Amino acid sequence: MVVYEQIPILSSKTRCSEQGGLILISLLSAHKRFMELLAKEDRSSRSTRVTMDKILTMPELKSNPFRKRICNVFSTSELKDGSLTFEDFLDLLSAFSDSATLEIKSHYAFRIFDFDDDGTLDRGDLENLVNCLTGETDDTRLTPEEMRQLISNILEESDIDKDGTVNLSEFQHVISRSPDFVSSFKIVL
Amino acid sequence: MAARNINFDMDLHHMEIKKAPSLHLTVTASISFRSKKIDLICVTFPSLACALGPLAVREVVLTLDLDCSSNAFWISGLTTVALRVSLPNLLGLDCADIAPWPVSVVAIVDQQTSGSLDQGHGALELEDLSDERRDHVTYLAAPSWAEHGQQRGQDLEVAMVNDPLIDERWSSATLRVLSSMPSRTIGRSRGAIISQYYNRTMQLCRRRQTRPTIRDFSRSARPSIRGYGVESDCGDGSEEERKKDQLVNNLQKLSISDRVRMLRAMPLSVAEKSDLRKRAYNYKEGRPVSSSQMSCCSRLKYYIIIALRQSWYSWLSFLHSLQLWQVPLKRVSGRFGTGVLSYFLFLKILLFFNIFLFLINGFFLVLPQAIHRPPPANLSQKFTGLELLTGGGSFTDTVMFYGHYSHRTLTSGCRHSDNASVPTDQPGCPPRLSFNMPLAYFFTIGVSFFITCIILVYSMSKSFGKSFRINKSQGYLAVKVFSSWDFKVIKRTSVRLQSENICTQLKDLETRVLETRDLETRDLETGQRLLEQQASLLALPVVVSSLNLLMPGLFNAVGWMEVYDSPSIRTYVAIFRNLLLKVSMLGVLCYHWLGRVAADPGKLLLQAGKQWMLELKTANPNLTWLTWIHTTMVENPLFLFISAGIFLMVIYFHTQVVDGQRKVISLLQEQIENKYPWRPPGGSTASGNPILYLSVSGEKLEALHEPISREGRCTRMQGCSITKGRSAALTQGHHSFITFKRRYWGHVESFTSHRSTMRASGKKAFKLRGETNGSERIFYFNQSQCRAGTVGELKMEDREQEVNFKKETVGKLLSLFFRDEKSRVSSDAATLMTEMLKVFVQEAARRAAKQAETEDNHTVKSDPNGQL
Repeated sequence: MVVYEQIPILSSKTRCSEQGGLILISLLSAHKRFMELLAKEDRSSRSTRVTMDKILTMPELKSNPFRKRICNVFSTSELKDGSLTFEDFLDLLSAFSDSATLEIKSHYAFRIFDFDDDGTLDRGDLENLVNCLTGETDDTRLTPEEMRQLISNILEESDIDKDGTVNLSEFQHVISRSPDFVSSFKIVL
Repeated sequence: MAARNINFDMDLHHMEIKKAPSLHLTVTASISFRSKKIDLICVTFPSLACALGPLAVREVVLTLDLDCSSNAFWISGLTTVALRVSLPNLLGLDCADIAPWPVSVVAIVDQQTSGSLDQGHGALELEDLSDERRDHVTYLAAPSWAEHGQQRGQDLEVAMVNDPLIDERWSSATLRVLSSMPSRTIGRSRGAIISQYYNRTMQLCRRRQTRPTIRDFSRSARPSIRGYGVESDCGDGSEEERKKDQLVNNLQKLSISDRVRMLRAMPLSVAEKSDLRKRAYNYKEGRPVSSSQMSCCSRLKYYIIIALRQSWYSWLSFLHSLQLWQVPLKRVSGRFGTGVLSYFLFLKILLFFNIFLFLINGFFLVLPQAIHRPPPANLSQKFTGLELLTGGGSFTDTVMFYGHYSHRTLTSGCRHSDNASVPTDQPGCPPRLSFNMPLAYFFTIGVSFFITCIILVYSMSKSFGKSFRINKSQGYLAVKVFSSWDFKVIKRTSVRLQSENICTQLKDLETRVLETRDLETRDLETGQRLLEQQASLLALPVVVSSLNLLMPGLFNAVGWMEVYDSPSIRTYVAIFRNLLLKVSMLGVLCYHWLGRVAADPGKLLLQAGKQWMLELKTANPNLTWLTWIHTTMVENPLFLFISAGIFLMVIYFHTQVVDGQRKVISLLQEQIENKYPWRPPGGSTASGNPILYLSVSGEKLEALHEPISREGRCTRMQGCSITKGRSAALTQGHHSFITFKRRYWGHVESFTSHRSTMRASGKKAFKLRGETNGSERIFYFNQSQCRAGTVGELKMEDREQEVNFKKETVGKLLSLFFRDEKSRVSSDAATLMTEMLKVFVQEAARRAAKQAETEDNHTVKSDPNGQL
């Protein structure tokens, strides 16, 4: 049927079975979900992008505080508008799937947490991160003093080379101490 | 090749020295390259000490603001170098003395030179120092840079400032340099990822080889940084293409399963991966024939599988929702944290135990009794209404009261007779199924408690095993922040709850870190009163219940008036108060009831038991073993005495064993600390030096075998390889954070030098035992093989060792940097260099200590998934 022709990377079974973290079944359901996000007339074209707003209407991402970051990280758009092609969408699902390794997950987690895309988690990134974690409401938000203290504690713990930022190696090092990261860094369609 | 033709010149632009209040030295130099494709430059000051030789320098402290303590550092995409050097005791130094310092610049031709540092691709490898490297790397020892006239706007600036030894505030320029270090850039660019995995595949290839040396490979397959530099004159796009080609090349060498695994592990996009894979197939065995369409049948199959899977998921979620109080418990953990949650979990478990007891009792005791009702004793009790509260009156004759239960044997074989509860040995009715109530009572209660006990012990041992930690870390804030968000949570309310939860936990952890105040407790007073007759029975429950009801409210009111740092402490205090209330109430109740029991004659119970046993013996000959047990165990005081003694002994031994284990653990910890002491930054308690690492630039490998010491304690460097232009490792304790071949960030478990071998054969060799990903590997390095990034270890030894790097070694090292054979290192220069090395080592020690502090465990895992 049409479905298989539309899925760009789905030209053979063997290829699909090798795709990182995604097996064919997941591919089909992913494709279905993706098509639902597209407008009718766009569905024929392969490289159509779904805008970030559309992506964020998905219930899996709707309430996630990192939703915009996720879109931006996985988007290959030149405009940096967070729009996703189907392949980007697959990347997203693959990174958040069961079979993605800790390394892939931590890599993408790092990029998601790196709000200013500068390759390191500096104080601003950490503050953004903590704000995302604690939510936007006033009663859960940390006071500036608490925030300052928290961030310096985090840096104290994880910043090995003492450059004031957390880089990918240090991040992965911290992550490796957390047993439940792999299970929590998941999105199930 | 273009890369070989690279030349570059550098010039000293400017140098200035300010002497007051401390020595400031600024050197500005410029380097120019003929090729623009250089984005990795290593600047070294190998002969600094040499140049200073003629001066009467007693001590030189030199600190470099670099990631690794070394006098070499790497610049990517940038040619401005900032180096801070602290020279506090350079006396009588002036411009003329400093000017002839040789500066050697190593440029590695490779990498996309894409503009500014911030976007620089940092995929430089700190490995592979094979001899062929100089094909692509140009070393420029510029002992007299003034001779070079060419200047092309690229500055080398060396700023020397007198700084305290440990100064963690980096200058902005240094920060920029640091930010271009490979460890920091790897996460950013695709090219970096590709080359990283290129190296990984190389490692996989290597692992299959019996002899793990780099010489076994064809040059094209070597994972060296200069491999990329071959076509460095091409544009950026083709650069990445070439990288990819090499990766594909490597992938082809792997087996199919390895290839798939490798591809899967790459954090690249699908398009990239499929391209890589396609190419990997195309090159080798040709693309497998792609089937254009799936058959209708298989499509149907997949849809069925999808449907099944979805229904399975929904079934799972349904099962999950069946769990008791799932939502309220989550809310509790969100509001008050996991500590409070555990209290409620405890209550829940208590409830489950009660349900379990209820079921067993109901089935084995209440049900038989309800079926075989004894004849009602007296029905003439008046219902006053108070019975509903006291439970007395006619209620005493129901199954709800133990007093109601008969101590007879119930038989099912005599259903026809009305008096089922009369003794079983009735003539004419074979006692097929008899049910001895007292025995049932005894066994039911016993067995149910036994099962409960086993469940409790099991779960306790499990949770103990889970939560036992020898080293308690002061906090896991970073782990909490980085990995606590559960991306699966999609419901808006749940997201809010999770935020609340994380917020509470963060605040909690933070206050724990910040040392909370001790909580104050207040005494509680309870009173009691007595009423008369039946109402007096009620009085106590009423008082107790009302106290139970009211006091928590009072405590809450008190809690509001007190000021606590964190919400969790407030709840802890509240819980503590309530527990105190409960306990005191229980005490009062026990006192009350025991006082009443004491009024009754005491020995009655034992006698009744004896009599019952006798009855049982006559009634049921099958149960004589029970009476035997009773007579031997209960009535004979000796047995009771002995068993109690054994029990006490077991308890005693158990506590002794646990105590001993604890002692052993603390002794071990102490020993570890003694063996690998480290100094907390700014602290003064820890003695001696940590294990550390040293890396010095040199043309050839040299092994340092020198002891150094600080503050009276001797450390001993067991082995250090010195390689050209490489800086790598950071070692701490008996673990190290090490970078060597193929950018392997692993940790080294132990690092022992083969001193015996060295002495015997005159060779310098050492063994390195590393562990990644659970698998242990041992590396042996000898002089010819040792191209690894430098790794070293200092081990505490006794006092008898003297405190210096060997001057000869240092001199030899230094002379390696000289082009002409005639140059000699003066002895003063060697001394200076020795001192500098010492400083490097100290600096490395500090960083290692810092790392140790942040690690806080024995095995430092830096790259859990990394493949060696």
